[in-house]
Amino acid sequence: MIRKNRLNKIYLIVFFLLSVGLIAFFILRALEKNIDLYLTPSDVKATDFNQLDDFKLGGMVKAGSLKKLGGLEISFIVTDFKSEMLVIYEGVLPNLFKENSGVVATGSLSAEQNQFIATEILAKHDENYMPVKIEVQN
Amino acid sequence: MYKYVAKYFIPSKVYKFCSLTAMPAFIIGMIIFLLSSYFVIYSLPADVEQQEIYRILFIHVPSAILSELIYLFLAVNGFIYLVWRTKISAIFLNSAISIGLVFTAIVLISGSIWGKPTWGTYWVWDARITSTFILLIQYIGLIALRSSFSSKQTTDQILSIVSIIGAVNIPIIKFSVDWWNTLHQNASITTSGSAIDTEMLIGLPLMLGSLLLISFSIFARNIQFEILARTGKTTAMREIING
Repeated sequence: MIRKNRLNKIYLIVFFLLSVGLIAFFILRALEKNIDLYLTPSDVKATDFNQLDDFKLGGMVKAGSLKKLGGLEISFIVTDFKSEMLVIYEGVLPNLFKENSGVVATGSLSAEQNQFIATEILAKHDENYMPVKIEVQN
Repeated sequence: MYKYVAKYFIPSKVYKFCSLTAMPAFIIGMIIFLLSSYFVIYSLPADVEQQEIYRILFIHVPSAILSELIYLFLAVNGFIYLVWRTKISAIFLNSAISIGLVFTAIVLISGSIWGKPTWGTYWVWDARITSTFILLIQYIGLIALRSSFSSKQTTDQILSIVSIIGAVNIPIIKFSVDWWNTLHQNASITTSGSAIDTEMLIGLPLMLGSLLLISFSIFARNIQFEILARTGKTTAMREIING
């Protein structure tokens, strides 16, 4: 048995916590676009970029799209399986960067708005962990 | 219900229990920690993509679990203290803060070290990392609040309220990778199974268990310290301390 004044206190705290949760929910909903770390190619297509704003573009590196352009310069296509965007980058790549794997690129759109000129490339790791299999030689 | 639980949580009984269990828990915890550290560093195979650096997982994930669980523990104790005015919950709350702070710091530091070779950066303001950073600030804030009031009762009440409000951040941390676009990967272990190969997975419960034991031993010593600071001068406590 819980005494009545204690029960009232429980109701008060639960109500209090629910309101704090609701406030947090509304704040986070309002800031949703700012909390997202990157835009997907579909987001970019849907947004009108007038200036050469810096933003982060994220998605998967499309299989077979990675090309070496000479020196450290590479180009690849970022896809979210709905839209695609060609990315040009010159610089050092993280270890986990490869085709069919997640990527987040910082940079801006080219003047024609069809290419993304990246200044920094981050590799996104997926949640899978697999051991290295020792290859048995026959 | 209250009566049955309350009789086990009298400060003097808790003090005795803590002084009995703190040292054994620490020794067993350290032995398991050292053995499983050796095991995850030398015996487990490397990861296909991340190679050797993935081994940071075995300190990063248990610390992350503990940093969030300890915060929930603070909030639950704060709730019990506010409703039933049980002194022991306030003592538990006070004793657990510093441990949670240490684990949150370990999560952020180990994550940064892992992030540089795999992602290509030490730090990025994505939702998971930012919300964990906020958790670190919450712990620091609680520690600052502890020494901000002259009366113990006021301190306990404020700590309880603040820790209950802060608990809102825990589901945000947990679900941040699902709700927003983040650089941090999604959860590997979900209700539908584990995306970590079973061969490697065994390291996680070992490390988690050892860290739980070690943090329990520190928690127990903190409790003893708290009880002494509050009631050490009463005759009942003197008898216990002097045997």
